[in-house]
Amino acid sequence: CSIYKMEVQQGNALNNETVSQLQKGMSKAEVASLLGNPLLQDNFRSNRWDYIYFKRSGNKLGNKQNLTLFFENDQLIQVRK
Amino acid sequence: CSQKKKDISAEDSKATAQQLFKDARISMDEKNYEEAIKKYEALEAKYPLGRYAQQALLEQAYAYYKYDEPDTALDTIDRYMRVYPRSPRMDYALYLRGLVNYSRGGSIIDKVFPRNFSDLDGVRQKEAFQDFSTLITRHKNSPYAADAKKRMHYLKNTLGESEVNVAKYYMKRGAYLAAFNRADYTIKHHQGTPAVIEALQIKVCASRKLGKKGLAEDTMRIIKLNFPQKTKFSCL
Amino acid sequence: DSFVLNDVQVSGLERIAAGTVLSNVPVRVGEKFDDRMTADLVRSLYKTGFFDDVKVSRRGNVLLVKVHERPAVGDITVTGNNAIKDDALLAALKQAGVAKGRPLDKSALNRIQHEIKQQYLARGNYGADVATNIEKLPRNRVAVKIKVTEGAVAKIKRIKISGNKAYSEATLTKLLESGPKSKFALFSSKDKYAKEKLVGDIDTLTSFYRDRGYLNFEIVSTQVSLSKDKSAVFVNININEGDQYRIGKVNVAGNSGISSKELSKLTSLKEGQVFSQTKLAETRNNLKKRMGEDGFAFSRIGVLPQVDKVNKRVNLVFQAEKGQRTYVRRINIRGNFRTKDEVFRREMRQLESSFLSKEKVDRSKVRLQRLPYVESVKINTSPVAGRSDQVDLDVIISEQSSNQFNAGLGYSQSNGLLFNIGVSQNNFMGTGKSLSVAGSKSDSTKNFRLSYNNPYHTVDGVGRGFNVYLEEDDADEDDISDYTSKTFGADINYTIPLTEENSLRFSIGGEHREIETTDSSPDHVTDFIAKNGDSYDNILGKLSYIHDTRDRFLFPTTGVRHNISLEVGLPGSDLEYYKLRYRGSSYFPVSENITFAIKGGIQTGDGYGDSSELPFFERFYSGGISTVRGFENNSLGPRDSNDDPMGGSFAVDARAELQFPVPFASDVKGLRMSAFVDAGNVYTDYDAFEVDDIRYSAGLAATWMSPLGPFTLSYAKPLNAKDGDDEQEIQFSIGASF
Repeated sequence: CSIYKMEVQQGNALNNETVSQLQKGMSKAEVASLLGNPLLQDNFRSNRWDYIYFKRSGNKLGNKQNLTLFFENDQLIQVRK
Repeated sequence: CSQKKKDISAEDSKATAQQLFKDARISMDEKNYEEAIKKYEALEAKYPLGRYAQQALLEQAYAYYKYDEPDTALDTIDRYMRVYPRSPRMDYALYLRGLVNYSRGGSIIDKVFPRNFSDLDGVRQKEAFQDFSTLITRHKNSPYAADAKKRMHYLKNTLGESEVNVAKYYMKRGAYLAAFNRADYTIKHHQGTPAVIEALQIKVCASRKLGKKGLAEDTMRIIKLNFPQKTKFSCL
Repeated sequence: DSFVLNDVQVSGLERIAAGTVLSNVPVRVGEKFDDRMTADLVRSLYKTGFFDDVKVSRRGNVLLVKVHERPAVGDITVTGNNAIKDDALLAALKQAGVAKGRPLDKSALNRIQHEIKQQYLARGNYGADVATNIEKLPRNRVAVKIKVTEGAVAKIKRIKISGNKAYSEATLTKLLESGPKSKFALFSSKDKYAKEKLVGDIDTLTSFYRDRGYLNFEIVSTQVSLSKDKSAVFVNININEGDQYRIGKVNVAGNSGISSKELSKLTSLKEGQVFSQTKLAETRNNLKKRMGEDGFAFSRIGVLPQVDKVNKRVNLVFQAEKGQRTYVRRINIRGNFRTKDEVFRREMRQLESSFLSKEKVDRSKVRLQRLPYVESVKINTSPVAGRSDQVDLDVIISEQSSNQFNAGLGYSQSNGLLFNIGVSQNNFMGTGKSLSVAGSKSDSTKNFRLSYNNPYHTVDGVGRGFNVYLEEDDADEDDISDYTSKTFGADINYTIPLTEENSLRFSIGGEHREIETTDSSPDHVTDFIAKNGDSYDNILGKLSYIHDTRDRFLFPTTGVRHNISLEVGLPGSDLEYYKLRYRGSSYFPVSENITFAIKGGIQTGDGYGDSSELPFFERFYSGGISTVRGFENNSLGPRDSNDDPMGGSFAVDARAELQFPVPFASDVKGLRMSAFVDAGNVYTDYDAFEVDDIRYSAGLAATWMSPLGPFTLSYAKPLNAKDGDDEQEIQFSIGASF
């Protein structure tokens, strides 16, 4: 019997269906209402939104997700998976 | 003229009020705070007149503070500020209010094993910081301003330290996003405290664990720029 | 019109400083003052609550403010009350702002008068009346006199239920809390009429029927009539049962993401069964919990019953709305004035930058409450400005000082100077580690014990601790067989969490023991020494499995705790023996602050390998405050050749307790009383066990979590003491772990 480790879940859960609805030119507000506000806050770079998700129960690290969005004067210009 | 007549009849009662006030001061000096509180309360109930009642209320607050009843001390100070808004001793009231929150939780054991007060209830410490800063802005030349400034500096550092300690815990726990955000919060809200350096280092380690190489390099560049001698550190 | 103000003159002041009035004047001397401001000035002066009359007038450019100060309350007396105590009334008065030294607020006084009357009505004193009068005192002060006449408490003489077909009135009235008192129920207050009790009864009736398929059961009407002298109450409730329904199809609709296969696992509603409201609620909770695991903390589950009147079936459709996924941004620990933030934060199962899960928050609350230095925990969520899908959590903790400190100095002819000192802290320097140092010395005994434990040696909660001890005690001193034993030893122990509720604990240590006998030592001791010598070096191993679901450490109200442990003098030790013990307790909430607890233990031990028996100094004992109260410490069980208790290798003990707050002192923190029945005894070995040898006792006990440690006082009457038993009705213990 292994040592109990509590479940560690971090970040925004995204599903591919909503991510696919992202289009260039969307404003931050539109992205936020679609995917939710990104949990990662970096006050040095407000034009880059990082959506991260992972969930570790016991020693199994499950379904890691990673999405980075770049904005220019409040318009989505690039999506990097 | 009616004011005059009032004074005479109050004369004899003032004497007894003065007497009660003196008794209370004796108990205070003897550090018998429970006794002192009872006497100040009696004075306020019997002679709610003029200067002695006002002074008694403030002394009562100090007695509660010394008697380790922080909540009652705070209520008494707040009542003092409400009833006597123009009191000449407002600077002392503010100073005492800050002191109550500042040293909250300290116990005799701390005299034996001194310990730092970081990681304790942040909201209370912020409240103390607020009271001391109101003191030094409104009463620049108050005798208490110097000490208040010193305590504010100390509070600023402990608040920063508490924040970055939470980031360290979340790194240990493997909650790297929580650690990253706590470190970011420290940098944003606790400028100029030693905690900022540790926070930057944690941001680098957390970014790597989150697989965000770009973020890690950017933060590393900020460290090189601002704290060149702090670039070597090991991630947990 | 307006004028340039060049002075303000205030008159009528006695107690209040002029500054208080001046600070309400909206403009400074030399500025314009117009009539519109007079109204604001008057209103703000009234708002201060210090004045009951304010007149503002003008003489040329001077503003005249004439005030009359409200009298200050010099004295408050309450007479005629005994159901509600003075200090409760005075506290309520103070809350409403009516207290010594404060200006008298007449409207607050009237409100309080009304409130006190309401409280008496709610307690059933229908004839109660509250009168207040105010007497003048010198120096503009007043004395407030409150006179209460409580009147008789109305007693329920008859309770009648009509319209019931499926169940008899007898079965239904038995469910109710209010009703006529049965002859021999001395203490019961069943017949005391109280409105909320009746409301509670109506709910009980409704859920009784709803759980048995009576879907549209309803209470048609309830009449409560009062006898002329207001002392007797007659209640009749008429109900309409409606038809009994069985469950039809059960499925889930909406974007819940829960498949019907999964639904069947989550629901306790099976087709064909009689409909039950509790099962319906249970299923809804399971669904809600399941969606919470995916981060939907605010999901909504509606239930659409489709009633098929013809064949009395009801199909149930669970309408599940995911709602918005909610995340936790920051968790603020509040109220930790002695304990470091991490010591509480590490108990949280809910993390920052993660889904908000109600289940994890509830679990965190329980884990925090199970810390010995926590008294109460409240967790509030507050929305984050500008981010509708994020919340912050405030974890508000009130700490309980859990250190024990005892010191004592004494002198006894036989033992000379006695002194003992002990400091034990469950939360040493706020680090959550526990450290205890205890020492005591007298001519015949010398004890020293140092124990340390860090429950979080690793971040996942693997605990590590050690003990070092030196004991020299004269068994005769504790009224058991006559020998003295010198022991010193040390052990290191680990605690490993297996799940949220189960953990494994093992320790390994070495111990050296020497026994000294006197010519009056009993046979079983001298025989043992003859066989095994009088000094032994043992390696002691202990393995225990703990299952713990209690909701709190201090006075738990629900949950169970089982502890099965095996302690062994390992092979290679001079004495090879084992001790197998089970200790369990379970708690059942009876009411908001009354708990029923059952606790018990079985202990057995024996030698193995080349030792043939459990060493006499490792035997179990029974009797005393932690086993069977009412009997002297360790006095039960078999006696040795000097007729001193010699303990045994098989012992059982059990107790049932009803725990309740201490009447009249419910505001003293950490004070609880209990009515209990104890049972138990110790036997030479398992075969010697006889049920009718078990001793029983009953009594009352009080436990107080004083700042210096737990203090227990108990009064117990043995129920079946046999001759030769040493009874002891009053017993107390300081710092006993329980």
